[in-house]
Amino acid sequence: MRRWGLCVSLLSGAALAYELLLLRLFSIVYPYHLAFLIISLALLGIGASGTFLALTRRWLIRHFPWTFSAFAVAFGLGVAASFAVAQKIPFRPKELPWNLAQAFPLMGIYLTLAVPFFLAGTVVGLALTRFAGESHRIYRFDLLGAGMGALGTILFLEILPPYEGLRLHSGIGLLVAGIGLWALGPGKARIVALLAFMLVPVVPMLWPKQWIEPRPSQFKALSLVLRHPDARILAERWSPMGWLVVVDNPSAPLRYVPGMSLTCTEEPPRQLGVYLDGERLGPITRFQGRLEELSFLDCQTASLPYHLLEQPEVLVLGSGGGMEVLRALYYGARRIDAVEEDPQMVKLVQGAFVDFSGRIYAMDNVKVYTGGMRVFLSRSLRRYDLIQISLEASYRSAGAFQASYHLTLEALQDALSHLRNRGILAITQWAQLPPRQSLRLLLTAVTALERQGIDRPAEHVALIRSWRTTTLLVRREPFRSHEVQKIRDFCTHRAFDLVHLSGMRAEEANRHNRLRNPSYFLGAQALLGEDREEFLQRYKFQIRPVTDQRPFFLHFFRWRTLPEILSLKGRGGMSLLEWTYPLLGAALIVAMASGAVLILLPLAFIRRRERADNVVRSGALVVFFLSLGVGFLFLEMAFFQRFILYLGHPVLSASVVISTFLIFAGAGSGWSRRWRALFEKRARSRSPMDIPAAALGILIWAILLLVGLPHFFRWTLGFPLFLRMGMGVLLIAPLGFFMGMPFPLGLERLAPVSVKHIPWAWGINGCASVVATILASLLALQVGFQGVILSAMAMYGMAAGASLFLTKNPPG
Amino acid sequence: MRKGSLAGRYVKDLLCLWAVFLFCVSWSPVRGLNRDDYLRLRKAMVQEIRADVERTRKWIGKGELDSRVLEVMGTVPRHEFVPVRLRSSAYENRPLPIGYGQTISQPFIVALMTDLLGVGPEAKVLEIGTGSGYQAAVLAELVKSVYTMEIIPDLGKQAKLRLERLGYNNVEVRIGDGYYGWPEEAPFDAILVTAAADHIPPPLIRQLKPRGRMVLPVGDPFATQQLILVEKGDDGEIRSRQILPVRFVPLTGGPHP
Repeated sequence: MRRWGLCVSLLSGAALAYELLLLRLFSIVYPYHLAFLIISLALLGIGASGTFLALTRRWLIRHFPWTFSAFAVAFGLGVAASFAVAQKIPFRPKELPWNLAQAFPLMGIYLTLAVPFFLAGTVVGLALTRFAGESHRIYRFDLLGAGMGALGTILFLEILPPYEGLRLHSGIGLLVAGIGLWALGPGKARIVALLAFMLVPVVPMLWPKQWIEPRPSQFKALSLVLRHPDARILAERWSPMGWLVVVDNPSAPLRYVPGMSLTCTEEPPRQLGVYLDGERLGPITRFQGRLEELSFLDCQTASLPYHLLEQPEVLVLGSGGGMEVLRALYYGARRIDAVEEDPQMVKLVQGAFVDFSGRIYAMDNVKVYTGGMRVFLSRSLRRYDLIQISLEASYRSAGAFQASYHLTLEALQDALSHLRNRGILAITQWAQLPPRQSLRLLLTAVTALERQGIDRPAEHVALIRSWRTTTLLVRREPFRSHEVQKIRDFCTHRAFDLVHLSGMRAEEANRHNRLRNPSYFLGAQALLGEDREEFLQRYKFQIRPVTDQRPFFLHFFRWRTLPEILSLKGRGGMSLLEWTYPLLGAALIVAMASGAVLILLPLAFIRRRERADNVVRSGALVVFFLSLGVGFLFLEMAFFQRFILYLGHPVLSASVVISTFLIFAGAGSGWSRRWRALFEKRARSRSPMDIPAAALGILIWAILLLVGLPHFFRWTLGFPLFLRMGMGVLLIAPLGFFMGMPFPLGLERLAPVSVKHIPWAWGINGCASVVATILASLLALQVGFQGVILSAMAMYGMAAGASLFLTKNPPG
Repeated sequence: MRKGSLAGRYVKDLLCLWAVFLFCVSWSPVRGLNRDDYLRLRKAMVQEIRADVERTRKWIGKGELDSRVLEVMGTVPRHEFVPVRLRSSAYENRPLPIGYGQTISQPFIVALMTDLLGVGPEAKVLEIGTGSGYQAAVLAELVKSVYTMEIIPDLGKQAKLRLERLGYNNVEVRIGDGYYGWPEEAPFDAILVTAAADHIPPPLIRQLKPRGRMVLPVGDPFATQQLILVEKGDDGEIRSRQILPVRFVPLTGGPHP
């Protein structure tokens, strides 16, 4: 049994690793949200494996373990092959809203990527069916393997690029096949097994690098810049956080001065472009100690706070390549603390480009910290004259449905509490038409001030804009009249516009970078005045502040605006469409429809072929395994996103939360038979209460986390990382443990009465996972993580109820 | 044995289906269209733009759209500026990919940008970002001379050949970095910066004549977020306008112009 357990563990670990590697690789090829969607849908392969098994079970089991081994090898080889093929399919995601025919290559990509999931699912499902009486152990190995796979992948990505991981899968597939066939004893099988073992180190090396290396889509910023003559990559770094590339172009240098004043004539010094997963980040700017070369910085809205402060102590959140640190140096900052979440970025500035960047991160008055911004704020006791959230930090890892905790209400409250009395919080963003981000940020700041008991927050905020950027200043004390005048002068000299300033007159708005309607000014006025609520109701975008419970700063979508925007498609209205949201909806429909077909197909087959021994209630079975699949993924996704705040980065959260969930669910699964025995002993007969009791355990722990987590995070966010990781494991482990029980307990109810239903249950669970991943994202956007967790609890409640009706004649 | 062959047949069928699917995915229809077809499509495109402009003109800050621009849009053979496989879509009112990560802008946006430049027959225009050369061709029909710069050599060479072949003799194409503009031919009556930029290069502003206009689109090539119109006064003072190229009021029940 252990032999098969090891095989299942290896395969499940490899399948989860494949999922994580794909997400990493496809984030480089396409935008992240699209990569997420493609891979979520590709997981339908696991659902399809259940259907396939239900239809071909007898034949596959008869030829076990040859079939098991063959599918394992196919999976191993399929991983690299499917990625290579999927990457070749010509797909232009940005054309999709214009041209629905682009949905075909999209479908081609996701179906191609689904093949290895299908093969891995078949292997695990086959083991579950073959060893039906031991399903709790097989499931334990499945989950333990997946958990180890999640953890192993993150560690692997610290050392090697993700595409190298694709190679390894070929070896794992052969290894599993070898172990499986060895079990057959001396003879032909052993020879094949030996051959498989011998090929383990060889086959991974056979994949050409150019097949499996990710190539960013032609529309990504890196692809565009590399087409310029003389452009060359100076450095590249791989890490779990992404692929960092530094590009130089001596003949057509990169120049990055967002929103530079039209009255300025300064040219920036030489800059190197920095790209994360093919998208542009702030540059590394050449600095040779001559501050006068940095005068171009004075042409940006982000420099406003420095005109109000003398030799400030500055905290830069999101220092990246160091542009904001240079700005602070240019204005004579006394002390600069810089926080950057990506250690590779800091290493580049301190290492390969230390001379180019003028050793800015090694200066006496500059201190650099790597880690999450919120974590730094929680840990630091220091107060600053200026906290600057950089333009890049505002958008780093913040897609429309990616959790980002940099600009939530709680984040701004944290930042304000680290300011000295007359200290300023400054946040720069891209300017949009119609205004969305800036208005949301203004309202978030005002709400944060109101929560601190400030009566007239309008006097504590200032918002200005250039033709391309906006900068918001917030402070706990009102701006004084001489400061207000300085802000006016700053804007006048640079042809920037005032959006909001204490005592500002309507005629002062919209003077330099004119809009047809002064929509920024009117929006700010409404948000700071009496009719805020009415304005928020009427505005066609959702611009209420986001919180840690729903940290989607770039999500402005309102369904009611969709028809109007779609009708304006050909008339320049396309930029108004946050198309990822409808795409998420479309993906959900595809997942549900495919899931329904995959679930219903075997049902028809089972009913037609084997009506006689029908003792399983199909309806209850569907509800039970569907609810379990959805509930499991809901909890996993919600806590994964929630722990990004606590651990500082999605990668850390994935490594701790997902692996803990899976490993402890594996432990729970292994323990499930003892759990069942506990109830049988008490009831002195077979009792169906084991599953409801496990569900109760889940509900109790989930409620505890739901209520306690925000407080716990607040108290312990400043703790060292290893402690936080340890506490993350402790918090998640009991939940995972209980979550691992219902599935094998359900299978064991089926095993004695109807083995044929086991692959079907496996498929239903797989389909549910796909639907749940997409649905959890949509739910999180609509109702926040609390809503997702509560929905998961309802799912486990439903599963507990359905478990009582799984079979018509409970075995006894 | 019988079951085995059944399974084998399933696999074969699946492989066949898969091959058919991949073929369908990678194949796109290329219909042969003749000159009359293109003329008809072009007229329809202009009608569509005319209708859109009619609906949008008050929102884009223009009382009237120059009728010459629409006439020219009805003359320039857009299908010559797109890849052969996309010719049948050339006159659809949407942006199209032209390779190298570049696009040919949506006709509506081309018309709007051209109109915003406000150029007369004697004007000298600089374009940064030649792309396929379509915008340059549209401008060439309206002004005395067009100077256009493209940083991607292959794209620039192809555009140059194409423009020559189509007889646009008043267009000069140069391959290079557009940051410093075209100082030998400066100043210009109008400058169009179609290559996306986070800032406007000061040398380009310097190369703009007094009363000159510069237009640049901001945003994704497939979704123009806004158009920036920079105007230089007689005294050299710079003013800019930000234009949302669409009839959209963010407030329900808000003021209508």
